Amino acid sequence: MSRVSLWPVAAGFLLITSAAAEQAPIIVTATRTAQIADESLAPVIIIDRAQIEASQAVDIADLLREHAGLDIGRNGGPGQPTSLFIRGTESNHVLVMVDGVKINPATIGGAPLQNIDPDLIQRIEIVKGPRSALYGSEAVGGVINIITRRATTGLDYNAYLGAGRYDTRKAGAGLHKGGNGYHAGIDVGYTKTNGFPSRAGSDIASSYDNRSMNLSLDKHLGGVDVELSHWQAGGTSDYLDYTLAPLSQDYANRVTALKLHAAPRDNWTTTLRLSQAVDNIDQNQSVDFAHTRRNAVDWQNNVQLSDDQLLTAGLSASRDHASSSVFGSGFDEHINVEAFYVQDDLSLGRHRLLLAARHTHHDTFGGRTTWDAEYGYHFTPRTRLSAAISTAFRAPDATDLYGYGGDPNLQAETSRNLEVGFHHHLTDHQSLALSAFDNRIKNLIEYDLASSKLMNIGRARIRGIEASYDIQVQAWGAHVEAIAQNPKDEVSGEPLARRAKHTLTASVFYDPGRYRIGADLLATGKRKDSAFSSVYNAGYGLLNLTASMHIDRQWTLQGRVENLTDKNYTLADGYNTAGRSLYVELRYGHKG
Amino acid sequence: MTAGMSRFIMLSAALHLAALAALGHGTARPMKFLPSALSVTFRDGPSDDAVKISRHGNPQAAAPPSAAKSNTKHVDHPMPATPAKVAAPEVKHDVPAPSTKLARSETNAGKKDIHAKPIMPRPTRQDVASITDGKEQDHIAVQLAAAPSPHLDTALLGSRLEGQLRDALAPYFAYPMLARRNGWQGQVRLGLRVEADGRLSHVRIAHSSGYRLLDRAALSTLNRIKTVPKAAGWLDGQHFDIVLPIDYRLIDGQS
Repeated sequence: MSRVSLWPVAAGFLLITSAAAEQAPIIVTATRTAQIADESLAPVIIIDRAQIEASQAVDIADLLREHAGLDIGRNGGPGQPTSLFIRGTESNHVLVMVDGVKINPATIGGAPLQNIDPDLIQRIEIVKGPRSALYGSEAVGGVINIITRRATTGLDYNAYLGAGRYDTRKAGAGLHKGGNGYHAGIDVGYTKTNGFPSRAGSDIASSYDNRSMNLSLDKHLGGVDVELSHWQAGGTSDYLDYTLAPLSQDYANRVTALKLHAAPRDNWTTTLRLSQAVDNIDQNQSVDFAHTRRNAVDWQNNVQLSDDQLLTAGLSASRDHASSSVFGSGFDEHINVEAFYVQDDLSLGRHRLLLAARHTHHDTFGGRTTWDAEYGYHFTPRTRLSAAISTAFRAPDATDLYGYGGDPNLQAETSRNLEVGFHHHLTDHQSLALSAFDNRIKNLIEYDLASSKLMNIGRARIRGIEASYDIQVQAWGAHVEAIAQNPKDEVSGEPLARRAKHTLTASVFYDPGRYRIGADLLATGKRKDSAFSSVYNAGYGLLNLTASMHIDRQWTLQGRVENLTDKNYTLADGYNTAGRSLYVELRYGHKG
Repeated sequence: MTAGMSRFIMLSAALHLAALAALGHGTARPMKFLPSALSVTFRDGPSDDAVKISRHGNPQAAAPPSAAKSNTKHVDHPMPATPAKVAAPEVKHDVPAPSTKLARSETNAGKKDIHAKPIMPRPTRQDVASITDGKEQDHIAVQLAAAPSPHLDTALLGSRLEGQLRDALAPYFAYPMLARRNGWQGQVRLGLRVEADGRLSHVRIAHSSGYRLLDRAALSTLNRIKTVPKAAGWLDGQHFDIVLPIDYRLIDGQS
């Protein structure tokens, strides 16, 4: 198939090509999108399987940090607590899902990105900007959907073995089979690294191991697609406490889901999903722990009302069991959340209008309605201008409510974001995007020194502009992203911690087929380390190189040099980062 | 339901009504802002070279005949066009046949349609330009009038009509949103008749994609146009039956 033209209509690209060998059908194409990318006009980042393999990243955070506007804070090397800040918002302002199931812990903090092995992942979709109008709590700065590997038609299997600096070892395998009316697959991955001391001033390495597994089975039964899936990651992570004493914790993350999907009518599809997500951390030198178990039911319907209009409506209910013990004091609570939402997606010629609203009811603080209105206008098939206004919220987590200094009467943190965007395809292989946003967040939950408890007292405003440019010319490709933002604490007037004002990322690759070489550059400005200190972590530039070579149809040898210039940089004050490191990997893959 | 929710619903309803009022005008109009480079790609008929070869009595040497036979059905000369008699209403899986002869030829063609995989020469930009060129059209008309064999004319005429049809339809094609969300893909084959005066009739689904939503999208796209431009001048008082395959395909990539 030769791509001849790109025609981005409201629903994506309409690609009309001439087929050489067939009897010249008219070919109408659109990009294949999974849920979250399709529901918004907001900037979307898609990291596909080819990019994941080419990057040879150790965890998801390594993949995300290569995009401007996605800041990473990390307390040491692989497996150490990792925070992600999207467009200057808080690290718990990112909703993270595995196959559409929320994995953010109910106890405290953001999703455990450090524990997600990229080798089990098919693709990652990131939507920047608020998405609470569909997804509820936490979707203030953005939403990430991590899609695990699935079987396609036919049989394929693969295995890999890798090693590198800091005594890092990796191994894994996958087997997938798909046939008439069914698909089944299993992937396993193992990573172990001796690591390096997580804290400066220590010479005790903080080791980490990760055993991950992904299972999926789907079958078409009497008009209904039934899918059973399970993903899990578990292992042990060593760390150093503030006295530099070595400690370790066991972690376990699991997502299990049963999904039923059917089309009761030609223009109506309905999906019912039952899911359970688990996030457990258990300390090995004490009895402290933090456990989350979330059972959820989601029912979503999509109805194509006319050629131009798609209506989405759904109900969801979840029950979180959050329990924790920190220095002997803790909580054991259940939190129920119910919600309903509706979205209308209207495309009329050059115009596209998206309206969404969701009402979420939380056991603890009551109800919250969030909404989203987006408008896109195609000046030409290749050029789109868009504007959006959206509201979002974050429900107080169990630690906010019941932990040290907690208050069960806390309200949700709320936000309102304004955004304008411009998207232009210069050619079929070259695109440019610009966006500007203004996100105001209030009722931020912060510790009030006067009353010695947490209160909804913080306010923040983040204004920024982003640009990205993408080009592919034959075997060459390049991608550049930049952000200039001002994440500001409106109460103190200080910059928000660990978020840079300026970041530039660039990647370039050459892939003639038999081999591929690539370079990734990340340059970021200084970041204030925390709200309670005046320390700034200096700006830095990081250069990574990747190379892979196809020995034959099945075997691939690949390598990566991280931090080529051996730059000594800091993501969190007092914590170390990796120096120049080399990793080598041998992969075998068979597609039948 | 909270006050906020009610406010939103009111706002939503108001915005939709406003949008419909403001844009409703636009629905009837196609997005006629295809850059010329895009519209070119719709023309996929045989190149002039192929036509020349076949004119010299070697249909095997040129790829189009099988394609033409399968895609376009020849109405035997000198059969009078009898649309009044044939005018069965839009029948979904049946071909309205003006005579048994035609019905047979359609059935055969239909079979070939499914199994034949002819090689179609890709048009170059130059070919396309020459097709759109006014002089070339006159030339076609001359060729038709003086053609020694009706089969050759049919191949040529069929591809010309298809080219016109594709161009006319181009602005209206869109991937149904629900199909895209659900990953539905497939090929729809639309059967249609170009009447002697260029009007379209007997539009039907000749072969389903397996998804009725896609079938209906293809059908409603075709129903957006009423006539094939310039066809009346080429048809010389006869009607012409065409099967138009439309592929709905999803591709990977950024949206």
